Amino acid sequence: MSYILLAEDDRSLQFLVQRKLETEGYAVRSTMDGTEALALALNDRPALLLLDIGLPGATGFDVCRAVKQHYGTEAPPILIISTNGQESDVEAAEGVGADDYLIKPFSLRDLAERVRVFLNGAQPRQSYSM
Amino acid sequence: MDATNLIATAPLPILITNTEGVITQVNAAAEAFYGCSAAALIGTNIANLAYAESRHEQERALWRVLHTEQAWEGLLDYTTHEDRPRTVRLYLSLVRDQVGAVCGVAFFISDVNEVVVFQRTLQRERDRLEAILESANDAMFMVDSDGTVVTANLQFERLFNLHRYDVLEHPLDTLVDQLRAQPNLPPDFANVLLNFGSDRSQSASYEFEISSTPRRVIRWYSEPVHTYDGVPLGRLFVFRDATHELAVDRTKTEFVSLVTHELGTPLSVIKNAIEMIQDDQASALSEDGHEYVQIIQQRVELLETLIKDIIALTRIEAGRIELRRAYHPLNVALDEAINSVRSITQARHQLLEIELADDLPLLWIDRNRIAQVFTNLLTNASKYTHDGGVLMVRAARVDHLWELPEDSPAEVRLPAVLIMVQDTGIGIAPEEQARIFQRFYRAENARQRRIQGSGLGLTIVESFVELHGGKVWLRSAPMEGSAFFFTIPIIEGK
Repeated sequence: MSYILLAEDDRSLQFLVQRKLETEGYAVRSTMDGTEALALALNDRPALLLLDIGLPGATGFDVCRAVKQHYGTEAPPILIISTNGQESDVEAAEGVGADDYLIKPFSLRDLAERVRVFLNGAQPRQSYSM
Repeated sequence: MDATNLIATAPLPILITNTEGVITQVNAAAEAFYGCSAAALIGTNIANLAYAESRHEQERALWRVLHTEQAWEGLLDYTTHEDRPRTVRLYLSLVRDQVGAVCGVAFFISDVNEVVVFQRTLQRERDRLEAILESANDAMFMVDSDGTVVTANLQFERLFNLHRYDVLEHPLDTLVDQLRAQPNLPPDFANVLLNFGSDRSQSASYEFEISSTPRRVIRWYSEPVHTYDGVPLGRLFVFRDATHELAVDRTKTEFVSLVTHELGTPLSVIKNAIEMIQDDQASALSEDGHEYVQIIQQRVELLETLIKDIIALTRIEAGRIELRRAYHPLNVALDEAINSVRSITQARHQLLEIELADDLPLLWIDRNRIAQVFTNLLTNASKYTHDGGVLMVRAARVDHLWELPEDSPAEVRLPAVLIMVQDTGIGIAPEEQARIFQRFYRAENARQRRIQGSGLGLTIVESFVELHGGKVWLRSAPMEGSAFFFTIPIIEGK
């Protein structure tokens, strides 16, 4: 199974997200650089991309746009990680073809749930108990 | 009938002079007016009675009457016993002897001083009001109740690039036509103005942009004008250049946005690290260790809620909230909210009961905003409920008015999903219930118990629910808990 590509330039956040996804059983490859993320994505066709916006080299938007153009209908799902309060980011994320977005601070459990839905095509749960 | 007697008893002061202006006869009213006896007046030249500045004018009037043999009428200032000038209306007419030869002039004096003083006061008052209008920074004009433009100030001329004398005393339509001809004004502006022409009661405020460089934003309002006792006088229109004000507002929003942006990543890291510790089955935390982690988590969640509320409020204030809607099941938003309040409810051993009807349709919502509505309501429910209490969330589809609770507001749009977030907490006093949606308002019992809060949560709840076309209301009694209801209209298949 191909891997999830995570591009996040905050080292701590990158580490935490990678660990979370690994404990959920996914293979994850991380980078802090936009250019590297793009090269990997075009070369390997990851199963899913998680892209922070403010990356050195190329922004998350640039990577997203290029990957979606390159693979067309076969493009992997892409989640953009934005920061709270930047609504323009969210609009831009949709503009470059992102499938979903997360707003910092987000919950890893929520992230894992969304990834699970994208990769298994599973429906979200309908009832809750705590 | 004796004319001499008529003069003597006339209520008006009357003096008769010879052709030289020397007084030959006066009546009692004249004696009273001048404050001296007939003996003192007779033999005096009438010129001496006029106030210094009016003396020349009176001489000319006398001369004219004698030479044109026509009556004369005019206003003059007279000196009286009060030693202050009094303004009188003077009527001069010729006096002839028995053979018809001119032998003198009759001075009929009508004391109009009170009227003139009153008029002068009015004029001063008017000048003052006009000066205030002229020096105001706002452009203003007023139409009377017939729709005629009656006042317009200097700023009005500047703002609309018009001469006020082209519109004053003309109907509002004339002004509207001139505004329509101006390409830098938005076309619908003139129509809105015109609609007000026929309206006597409505007050409203609007905003429009003038396409100039730099772009200007004008905020304006219109108010009906009445006298103190309610007689309609017309309608006032006031226009204010809000360009600078909006720029300051934008700077504030940008600053808040920047600060919260910078907080986002560190907060995310802390929150995620805590989650990892909690989810890590192998981590060997002591019982105290779990407690410490939970304490951190609770505070991080409150911080997160606070930041979200601040961002939301600045956007609400700036009127810059745009919903990012898509079709979602309600529980997508609820789930997110539950995740973010879980540590708080768990720490207080509160039970959260969720009951969503099976037939809930997908909702056309901004899921982040609705999640924030749930988060704020659940945070409140938890905060104001004792440890070990019960919180409930219920949702059901409502198609008919009779399915709504009795205390629902009248304007609920149907069909809708009705959501209730109920607690078993301290409740809200009836007199405070209307105010709790106001910004920064905190209920008395909440402050007394030192329950922390910003007073922003419900303001945001109301704003977000209404942006979705829904309504929010509550049912509460002190010590019996509170139930918050809100609706989200069902919008089928886009």
